[in-house]
Amino acid sequence: MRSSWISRLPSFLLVVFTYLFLYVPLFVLVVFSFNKDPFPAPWSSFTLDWYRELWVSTELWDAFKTSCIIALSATFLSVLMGVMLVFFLMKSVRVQRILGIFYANLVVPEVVLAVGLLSMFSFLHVELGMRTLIIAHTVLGLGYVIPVVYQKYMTIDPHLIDVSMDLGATLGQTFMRIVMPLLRPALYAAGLLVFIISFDDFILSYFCAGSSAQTLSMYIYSMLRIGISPVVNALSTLLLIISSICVMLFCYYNVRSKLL
Amino acid sequence: MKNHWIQKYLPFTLGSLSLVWQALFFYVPLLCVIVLSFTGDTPYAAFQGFFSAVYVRIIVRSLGMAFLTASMCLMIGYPFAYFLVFHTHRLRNLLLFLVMLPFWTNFLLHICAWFFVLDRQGLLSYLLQKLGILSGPLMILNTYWAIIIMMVYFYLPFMILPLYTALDRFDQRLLEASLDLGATWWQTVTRVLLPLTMPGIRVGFLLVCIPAFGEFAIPEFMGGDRTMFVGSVIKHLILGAESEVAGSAFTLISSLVLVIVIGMLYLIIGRLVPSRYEKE
Amino acid sequence: MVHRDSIISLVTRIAIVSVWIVLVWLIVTLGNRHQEVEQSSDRMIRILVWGDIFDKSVIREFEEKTGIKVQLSSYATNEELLVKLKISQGYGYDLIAPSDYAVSILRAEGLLKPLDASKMAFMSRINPFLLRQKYDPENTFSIPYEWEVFGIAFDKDFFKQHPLRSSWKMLFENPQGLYRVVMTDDLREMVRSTAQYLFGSVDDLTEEQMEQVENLLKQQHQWVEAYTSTNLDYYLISEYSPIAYSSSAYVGRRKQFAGKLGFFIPQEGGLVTIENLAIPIHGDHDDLVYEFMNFMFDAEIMARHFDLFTYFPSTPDFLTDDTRETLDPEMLKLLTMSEQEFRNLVFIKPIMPEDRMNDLWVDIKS
Repeated sequence: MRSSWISRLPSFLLVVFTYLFLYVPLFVLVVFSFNKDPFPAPWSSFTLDWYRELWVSTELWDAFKTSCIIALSATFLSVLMGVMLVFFLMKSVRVQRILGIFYANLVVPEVVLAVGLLSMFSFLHVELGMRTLIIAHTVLGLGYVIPVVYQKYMTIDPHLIDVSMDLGATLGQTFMRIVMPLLRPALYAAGLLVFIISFDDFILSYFCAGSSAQTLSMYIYSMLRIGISPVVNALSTLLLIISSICVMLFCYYNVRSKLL
Repeated sequence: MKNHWIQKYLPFTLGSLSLVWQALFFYVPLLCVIVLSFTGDTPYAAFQGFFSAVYVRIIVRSLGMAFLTASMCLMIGYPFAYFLVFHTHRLRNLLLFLVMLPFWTNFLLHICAWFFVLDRQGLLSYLLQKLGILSGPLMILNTYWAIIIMMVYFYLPFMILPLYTALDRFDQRLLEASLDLGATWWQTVTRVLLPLTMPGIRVGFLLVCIPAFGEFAIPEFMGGDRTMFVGSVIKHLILGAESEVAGSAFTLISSLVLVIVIGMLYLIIGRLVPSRYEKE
Repeated sequence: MVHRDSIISLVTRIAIVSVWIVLVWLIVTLGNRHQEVEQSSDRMIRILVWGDIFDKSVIREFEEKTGIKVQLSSYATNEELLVKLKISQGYGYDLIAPSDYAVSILRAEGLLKPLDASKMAFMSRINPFLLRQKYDPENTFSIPYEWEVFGIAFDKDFFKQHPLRSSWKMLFENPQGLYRVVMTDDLREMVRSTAQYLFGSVDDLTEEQMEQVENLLKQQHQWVEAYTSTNLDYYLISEYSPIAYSSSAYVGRRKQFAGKLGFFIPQEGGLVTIENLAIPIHGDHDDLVYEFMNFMFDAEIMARHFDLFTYFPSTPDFLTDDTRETLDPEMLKLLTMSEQEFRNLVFIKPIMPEDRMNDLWVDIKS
């Protein structure tokens, strides 16, 4: 653009303001996790008490464990299914048309899916719990894995596959030695995406967890309903750190996947 | 012979699992919702209750909230993405990372964070009073605007990322060419920029509008649970009143309304902003 | 030839898909259906109770002391309990904790087992006016464990400067912009307290009375700051709304705000709820259950229970002279209320049909 920096000023200000908008609340949250007095008192003194309380809370760690197990299982299952689907795609090109059924995931509000799963499970007299949550989160995950992996697959030079087959490799060998390595960064990226989405998921878990399982989101929800306690702040800070790591990894794999 | 069978059917076997899973746990539940809504005393019994002014108001209110949120996200997000794509180079990855980070954090924590900011004795109130803009404490929590602020805050990354992708693919030289050929700024934007980035706008709008329509947690916390939205009603019917038939019927009705309204919007916008140059 | 091949191919594919469906189905349902309840082994009891009725560390003490394993499930509303028990027809659990009106519903459905008074040594220690209630006149099926009262909580500082009347009027009369109130998010309590304010302690509502209740609640929406039962202190102490519908247990638990929050029972009469222990009709291991109950009713355990949850135990002997000193005088007054005062309270049983209440809920908030 020929414009000088003056014409960029409004949008620059907008960008700065937006970042402030996005981050000031989080910053405040983190800062106040070290505050001695509980909300809504203003800053008094530095303390790690709330982190200590967090460390001791068994209910929290149970919920954390549950969320981790569910997220890891959902990630594993959905990525596995995505990989297997790519294998199928290699063989039969016509399948591509069906892939549209996975895009519906993003178009349907989560509430609707939650209601549907709840109805289906109770109709079949299936007890709601960890198992049903893993199933539900895997469905959620599929909606993210399939598009990402498919996109990546489409960018692979078809000549590579043709040449490999011509040289005598079976479909399986071609898949494992050629396609998979190329897909791998995208798989990691997709896996991280599913993990985070499952870990943070609230609506689906709230409806489909039943009384036996409690995810971290549900735990936070019940804590919020009781009132804002700095323990929640401390928890947020920790989760922020975990999320940052995951996002950094995601960006890393995303870039690598684009380079390959 | 056996090898041949495996060769022939192994890919299908493996690949079909994801299809089966999707069908069983996504489409069958949706079907359940539809079927369930017709299993009242009479097939239409569940629906009758919802054609009253109360529920129409709730649906309209949720639509309004969803569209307002999406529009505000668009107004903020588009210039934001534009700036990011065309005016940043070295810092771009870092800035992108920063935009995505909130999206990846548990949203309930964001609600908590905003409590601190919007509360009567919170940050914003303190600042505004110090600056003399307000004479008394800030009374914004538990109002409609608190809900909207929170919604925009939460859905902004959903809008920025598709816009970023669309603008990234956009060839900046087209803008220069247009201006060189004598078009005004306004003409360039409406005839060149917007139509070519329309796919991104559409995706962003959908990604915000659709989930926002079904929200119930944000209105509950930011609005003091004083008002009912579509999501709150569904939650109340299914979990509170435990009348799954009514819940399914209402879910069906509101989903249909959402689809119809969005469809109409697409048609209208499609007429106004020609996207003849669309390429996917 | 080609025709036949494609049919074989199609059939094979359908077969494969069917195998997947069956496999997935098995994974989902194996060992997971409602009817399949875990077969209880010898020294074990399965209890289904409120999330905050038994302290987990106390349960662990019981397990260690007696060697009886306790399998704990919980629910958040009586309706959940009712649904679970109705679906399983009284199988699957050995001990439950229904509220007052839930006991009468379960009795009517024949889902409760008569209790054996000889096994319950604590019977004589129970506060007499908690017994012999209408929902279980001879206490054949249920025994009161804890109770709490509902009334009005308020910010003491605010009401030093403004008049405070000991009446439901504080919630239901338009404060004309002076302040806003916080109401509960529990339907039944909302309707009950409104009815209490309008008509006093009635057992049932006529159509006309129901309409009056609905209209008042819709009006009240204007001066309600929020509908919550769990987030009250935030509103009360941050001066948003200095007055709220609340429970004694809630106020008691907020020890850090002890000096600031007050609580009273309105003169028109407050609300009360009694949580009882009961045994489902097909419950197992009765002896072990009675052992559990005797353990939980121990005076010291009850004192810890009160300390943690501030629900009033049904056995008043948990109060030692020492604890009496440390208690908030308001709390003490409530704990030691006379029978007459107790009779003034009314139970939160549903006095409006479910459907109507649910519709009202949506109506108020629109």
